[in-house]
Amino acid sequence: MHSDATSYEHWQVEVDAAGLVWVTLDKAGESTNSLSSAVLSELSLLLDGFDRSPPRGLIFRSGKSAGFIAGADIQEFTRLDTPAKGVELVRRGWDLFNRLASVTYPTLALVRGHCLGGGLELALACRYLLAVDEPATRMGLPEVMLGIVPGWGGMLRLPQRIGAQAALDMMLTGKSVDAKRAKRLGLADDCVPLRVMDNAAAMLLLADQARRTLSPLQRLLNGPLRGLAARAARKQVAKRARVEHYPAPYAIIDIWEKHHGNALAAPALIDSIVRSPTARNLVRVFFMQERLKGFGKGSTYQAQRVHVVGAGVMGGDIAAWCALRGLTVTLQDQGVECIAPALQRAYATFRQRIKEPLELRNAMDRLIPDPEGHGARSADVVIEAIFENLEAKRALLQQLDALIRPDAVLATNTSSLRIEDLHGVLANSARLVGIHFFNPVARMPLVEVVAAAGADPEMLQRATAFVKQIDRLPLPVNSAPGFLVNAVLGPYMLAAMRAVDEGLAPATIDAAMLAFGMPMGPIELVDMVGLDVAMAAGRSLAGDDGEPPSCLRERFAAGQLGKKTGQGLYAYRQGKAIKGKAGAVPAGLAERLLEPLLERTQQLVSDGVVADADLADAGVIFGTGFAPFTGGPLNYLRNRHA
Amino acid sequence: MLKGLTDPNIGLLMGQTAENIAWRFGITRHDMDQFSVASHQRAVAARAGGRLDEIVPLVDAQGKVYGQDDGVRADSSVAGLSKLKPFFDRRYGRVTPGNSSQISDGAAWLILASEAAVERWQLQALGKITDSQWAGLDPAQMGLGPVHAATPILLRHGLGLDDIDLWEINEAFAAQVLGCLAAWESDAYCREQLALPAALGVLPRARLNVDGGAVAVGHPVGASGARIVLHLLHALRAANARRGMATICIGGGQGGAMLLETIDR
Repeated sequence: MHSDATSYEHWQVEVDAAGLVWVTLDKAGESTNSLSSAVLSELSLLLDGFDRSPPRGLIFRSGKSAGFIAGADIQEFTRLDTPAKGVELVRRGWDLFNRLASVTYPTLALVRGHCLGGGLELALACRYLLAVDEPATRMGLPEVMLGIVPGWGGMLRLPQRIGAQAALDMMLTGKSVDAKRAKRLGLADDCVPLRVMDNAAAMLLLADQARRTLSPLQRLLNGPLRGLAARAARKQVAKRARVEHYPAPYAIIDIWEKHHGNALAAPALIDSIVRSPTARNLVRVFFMQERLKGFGKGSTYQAQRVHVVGAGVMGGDIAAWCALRGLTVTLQDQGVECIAPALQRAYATFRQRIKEPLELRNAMDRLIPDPEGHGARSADVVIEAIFENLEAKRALLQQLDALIRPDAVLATNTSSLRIEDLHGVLANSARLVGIHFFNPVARMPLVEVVAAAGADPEMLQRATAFVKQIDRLPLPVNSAPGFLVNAVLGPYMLAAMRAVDEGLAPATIDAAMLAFGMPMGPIELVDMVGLDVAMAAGRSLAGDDGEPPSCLRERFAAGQLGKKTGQGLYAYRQGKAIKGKAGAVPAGLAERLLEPLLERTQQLVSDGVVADADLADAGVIFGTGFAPFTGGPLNYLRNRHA
Repeated sequence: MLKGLTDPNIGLLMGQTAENIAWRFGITRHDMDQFSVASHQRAVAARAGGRLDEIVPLVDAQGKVYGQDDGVRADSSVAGLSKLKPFFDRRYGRVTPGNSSQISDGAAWLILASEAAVERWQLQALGKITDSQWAGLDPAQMGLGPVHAATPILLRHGLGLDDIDLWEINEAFAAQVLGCLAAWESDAYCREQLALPAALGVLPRARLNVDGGAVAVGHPVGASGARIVLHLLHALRAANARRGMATICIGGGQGGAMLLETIDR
């Protein structure tokens, strides 16, 4: 290979003996490739050169170990303050990728690692797409999750490549696919192991054979029957997202159906999407998420072994999650019979997420039942997750303290006890940190990392890095009852139960909050948390001197503890609440129920439980599912007053 | 047969682990085919020169005599080998049946005796095992096992690669033998994987598998270790040389090596 004489800041160009040109995107100053305007301008110059002397074939690949291309440069979205700038951003990628798609020489995207958004749109503009068969290889168009649309040709080319149904599903959910699935869908021309990727890329280009075409039915759904596909897609979207909260998925369907995927044909729609409060807030949420991830970076700490004590729902699921993320985990409880159910749940979770039988077996092998607690001695991170009893936890922590490595992180997953009441039994009380997961562990992205006064900063940093290592979002909080998430949910659930006492039907209350954009109504949430837990936590969290709501007290007294007993504020059949029909929602109900949550969030920021308003918003969104399009409770409050 | 030659822990065929090594060190199909032709040529020459006489004929139940291994091909050529299709990574790979060892039936026999036994029974030893080493490594790179097994022996004795008069690296795959040489020549590999300050150096091809190897004469799994140890002792004696290293890669992620010396009789 020899290098091209022209030098670019972000791209490297090499020509091999067969005359194939390999262009490598290695964005300067970044660990991840994104398609900034500078990167696209250079690509345009590159294509100018190839127009003058067309190569025998052109291969795009990445110079980053992180992946191919993560997408557009999201920072640039925040500067779109006029309609013209929004249209200009769309035009830049749309025109360039149309040009790439129409070159005379064969082109190929060699996709290893993430290939998302604009990255996949670039790959789709190539004649061939070759996917490297590794777990990290993911292809998708997640624009919808930022409240925007894949305007650089994704809405045009993905349906042409894999058919309308599969393409709409990917674009409307933002879900990505792995290398094998990409091959099955026809998105990738082939899926190969790393060791032959270069050979395969060269062979595909040199052979330059016609791509697989869509079936006649799929061609109809992209053509005369597209109205049918659009209607079905709208119906699907309506089940998950209201147009007034999330306009982007509806716009994607419209632009595909009416404008052949060309967003420039609908400039007014583009403007209403790109500069909508939803897009602004979702982009903000994206950056808040990056900020949370950032807390776990900047440390070289890497845990390899985790020891979890307590194989109940939380402990067992924490252990399983760590094993799924590649750590070796020992799970301790009073006997192997107590641990077995956790292994069963782990297997069910792993099987959904891991398709390769060998990988599945390896994940199960990493999760080791350890009734004797042999793993504690060699663990990097030790997590206590037994039942919420002060004396039991103190005794256990004291035992562990004497046993584990001096440099190991010792953490409690307590949600209701004070770290200050627990850490006194340790030789060095500064050692204990809180690592507070939410249920279900595999679905809740947030983990609170709790600092008691005087906690060892090194241990807190390690705990935070560990949370990031297992792909959860670490939120640093100070020790206070309920930390952030449970503390703000308490008064909100209390207000909802008071409304039940006032005579409103639970279904009406839940409907009001679903309409606001919550993922689950507050009454159903109480049932899921458990009425016993709500009673126990109730008084301290609610900060309310009054009696617990009578609907809670009565059912608790009757042993109706929620979903787990089959009866709480709702009755349950096969794990599903029987809600009945919601009545007319009284005006201002949602606002009234939210008020205590908003107040408490503000209070916790001023008390310093969480460092600032943005982190509070991030915590409440990722910890409770609080309507993301609002940008979080405090952002909502600000905009409401504005 | 394919099942037996698949690593159950990583789900890779042995040939795919060789593809991994070829990719890692940029070993081309041409390099492998050339190495394989040399293996046949050396085996043919050794047979003609009487240097493979430890291989004895077999007679089957019908009285048929098998005078010679039938895998050794005098007419092997790079042009011929380049026509074969990759077998393990079917479309895009580089490892073919032609540049892999042949799956052969076979047995080898040698007697290992203690120094006391040699004296007591007045045995005429061919040579002695001065040192030996087993090593583990990533199963997906198992073909580099010889590097991990032989290097500690060299270090223990203060020897460089060219202080060994003759080498036998079992030819499971041409890619894997060439990979071992490339690993020893690589600063990065020696630093990261062997904790050496820099590359160990170049193993002269003239000292490596001088009478051909498993690509030509076959790789009867389970017998090959004994075969190369026995052959190396004969080869050292034939060359009037003193010191040899026999080493082999092991599916599952291991390597074995023995430092041998001839004994004056």
